[in-house]
Amino acid sequence: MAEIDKNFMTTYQKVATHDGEDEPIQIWAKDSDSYGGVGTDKLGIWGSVVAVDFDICVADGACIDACPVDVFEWIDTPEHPASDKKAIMTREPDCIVCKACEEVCPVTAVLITDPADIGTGTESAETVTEEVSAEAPSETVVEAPIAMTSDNTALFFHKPNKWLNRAKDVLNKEELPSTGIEKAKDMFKGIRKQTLDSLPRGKDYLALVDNEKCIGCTQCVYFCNFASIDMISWDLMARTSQFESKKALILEDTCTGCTLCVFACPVEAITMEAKT
Amino acid sequence: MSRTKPYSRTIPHPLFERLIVEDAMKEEKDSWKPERPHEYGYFPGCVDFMDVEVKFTHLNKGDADHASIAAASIKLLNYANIDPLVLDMNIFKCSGHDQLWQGQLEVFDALKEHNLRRLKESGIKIMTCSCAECYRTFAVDYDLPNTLGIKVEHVTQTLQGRGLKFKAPEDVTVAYHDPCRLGRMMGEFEAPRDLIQLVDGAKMVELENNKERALCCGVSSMMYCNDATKAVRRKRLDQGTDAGIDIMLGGCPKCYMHMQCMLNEERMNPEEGHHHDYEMMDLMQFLVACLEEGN
Amino acid sequence: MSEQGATELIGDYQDEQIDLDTVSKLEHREDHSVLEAELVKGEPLYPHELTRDAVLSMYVMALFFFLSAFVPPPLHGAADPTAGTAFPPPLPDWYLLWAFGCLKAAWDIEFTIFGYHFFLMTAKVWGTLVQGMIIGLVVAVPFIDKAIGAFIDPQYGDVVNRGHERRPIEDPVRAAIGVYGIAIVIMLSIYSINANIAIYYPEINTKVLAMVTLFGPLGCALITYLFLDRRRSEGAKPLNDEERFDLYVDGIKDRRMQRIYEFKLNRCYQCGLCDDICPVRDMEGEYELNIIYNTFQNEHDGVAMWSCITCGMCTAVCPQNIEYVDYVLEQRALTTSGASS
Repeated sequence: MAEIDKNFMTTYQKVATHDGEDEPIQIWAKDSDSYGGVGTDKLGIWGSVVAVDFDICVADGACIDACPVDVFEWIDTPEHPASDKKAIMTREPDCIVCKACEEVCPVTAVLITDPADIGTGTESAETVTEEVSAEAPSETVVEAPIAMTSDNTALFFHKPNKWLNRAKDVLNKEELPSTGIEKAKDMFKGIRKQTLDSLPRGKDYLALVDNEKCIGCTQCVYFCNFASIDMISWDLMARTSQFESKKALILEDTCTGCTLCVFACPVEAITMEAKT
Repeated sequence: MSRTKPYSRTIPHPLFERLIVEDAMKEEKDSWKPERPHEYGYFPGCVDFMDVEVKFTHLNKGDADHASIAAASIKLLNYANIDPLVLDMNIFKCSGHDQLWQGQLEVFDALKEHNLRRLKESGIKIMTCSCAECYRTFAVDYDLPNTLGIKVEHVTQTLQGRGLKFKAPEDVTVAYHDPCRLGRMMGEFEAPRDLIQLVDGAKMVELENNKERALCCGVSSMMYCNDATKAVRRKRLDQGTDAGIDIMLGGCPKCYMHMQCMLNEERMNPEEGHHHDYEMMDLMQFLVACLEEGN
Repeated sequence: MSEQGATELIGDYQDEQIDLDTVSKLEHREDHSVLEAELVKGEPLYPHELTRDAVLSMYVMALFFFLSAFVPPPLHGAADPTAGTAFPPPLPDWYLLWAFGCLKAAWDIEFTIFGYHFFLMTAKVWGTLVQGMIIGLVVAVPFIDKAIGAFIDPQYGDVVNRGHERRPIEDPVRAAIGVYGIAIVIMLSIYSINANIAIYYPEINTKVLAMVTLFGPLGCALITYLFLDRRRSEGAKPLNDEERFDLYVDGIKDRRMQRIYEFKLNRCYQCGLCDDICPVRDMEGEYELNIIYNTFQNEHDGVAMWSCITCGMCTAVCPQNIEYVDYVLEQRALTTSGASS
């Protein structure tokens, strides 16, 4: 199955732009003949920092769900053989380079490039070559960082929840009155935007875990796409505020300041600090 | 000996709680009237807020779907020939249970005032909730029977005794996990069990600690998830395995959320060796899955 | 900063925590654990108690010797057992005067209905029976209490004893009855020495004493009831939710709320059932969070109070109906809103 060309910024040409929410979206194609525009079967790669190969995109929607800052939206692309709608990166400037969308795309149509790397000649993405390690919390700080690729789906495999699916099948048959999901979604987006605006991010910043708040739930470990979080064992001390057996520790060497862990933490124990 | 660092932890602010506090502090002065009068009102609670939060945090890769609890409750109420007015969150606000138990009284006060005003405008006589915490909050902390004359029921109490019939698609062994707020605090143990008995093909077993001695599922006011509280939850899940069940049924979206969180954490950390091979569902979802064809 | 630096920092932080009082408290957790009474605090038998008892005994003996040496009691002539009815009559010891009073106050029970004369019993008989009844009532009080408790709270029949051993201030009716009992015993004792009183105070004759014996205890009971009832309304009564809410607002400023719940919590007689059943406490481990005890002691260091999962098991098993879960709620509210206001 085809994947997005990792070197497209050097090998493809800029052929058109499309309106995004704030900034125009660059469209790339091999040459001007390979691009036909919306309504044809030749769409090329859209976006620069957040690049989606629309010719491969099958409108799975995982990127839309996974994005913490709502970069993507649906755009209709009739007459395209792969799917009649695509995920367009309307809010591309908001991207925090967490690469969550890249990881979840089932057809590997997404490529994220750090804006700092664009224009410096290092546009081609580096593939991660370290070994996949499925062990989780170790007792001490780990020496070499471990990488997570999309082959780690085995970690998340479990018996499919068939009863819930049965219930959902029955519920999807009819239109039930809404219980307020619109308000929840709007408020959620609002707060996310607020958090995003208040957080400094990028290569000059590091995530920092507040050990008073950390509850050792390990979610940040699994959300970090750069495998920069580890769990350290913590002395279980009753009558203190740290009655947990493990807490998160950010490995500063590999942290890219993408702020994904900040969003993932259920108790907001992670903040961004400037690198000294 | 003097302390250099204070011990008390600030209230953790899961996104879900922050959303509710922000919602509470927004003033809404408009008045509202439902399209037509209803006798029953169904309060879904913050299931949608829970969904948007867990969508991105820990339960994203699990099976948690809280909104389906509300949808299932509405469908079951319709099946029982009740036409409830859905007191949805676009107009109402969170009942404030968590804020009350966290000690944030100003927030609770604001929520209570808003909800009481809306309830008066809604003109309902009986309120049904699918959430045990909302049930307790409306019945005890808001004291609706005395302040507004509205009777408060849990959805299992509303559905009880109406001659409903359910058929399970396949034989299952289920256990009912008593929520703290519904069981110990409000004294309702039998209504959910009666509903489970109505399901043809579902065998009900009792967990080791049940009814008044039931183990709590988690931390109901979202405070302080630490090793001790997680150990309680794991003990509860282990009791489920010991009883040999296929599904554990809860009566509150919070029970559902906490158990799913632990099940997900176990899946994500398989090397720790804990594994529970059954599903966690809310009672309403299970009953909807057992609705006979054509309903 | 290198990885090593981060670990070091965390190690330092942990050491700092250890230096603070927690771990040392943990090592001596028997000192503040309700149930782990291995090292029971208190005075050891030897040498403290033995010495103290020895000294006191010798002191009392010394007093006796002194008195018998220097202040010997006079020895009158022998008592004459054949002496007839003396006036005033010989009396039993002071603690049995009430029984004597019962006998004195009793009368023959006989009445006439429609010309038929019924004679039930003589004064002697029922005067004696009444005494037995009074003793019997005193013995039966705990059983009556339990029965009343089971009647009032039938839904908790399967859980541990929900008997209502309430303090007088919380149950003015039973307190008034108790005061009535004490008062009537005293009054009967005084009534029984009516002859002796008449010698010194002839105006206080039997009739007066009879009236006082009849109405005095009733008056005492009434006063008790009114007094306790007023005390209840001052703040010791259990509040309903409306009042409790009002109290949150201004109670925090003058700390009246603390006074109320501490008062309720003082019903606790340390049976330890809540501690046994608390699921958080139940978790095995070297360090066990004694949530209930620590919150009870107002040690709000942020762990005990916030670690409570508010499941309500403690309230469910408490034989004194202490609503511990609500107490946690109020303490959290105090800490949060008190801190932020």
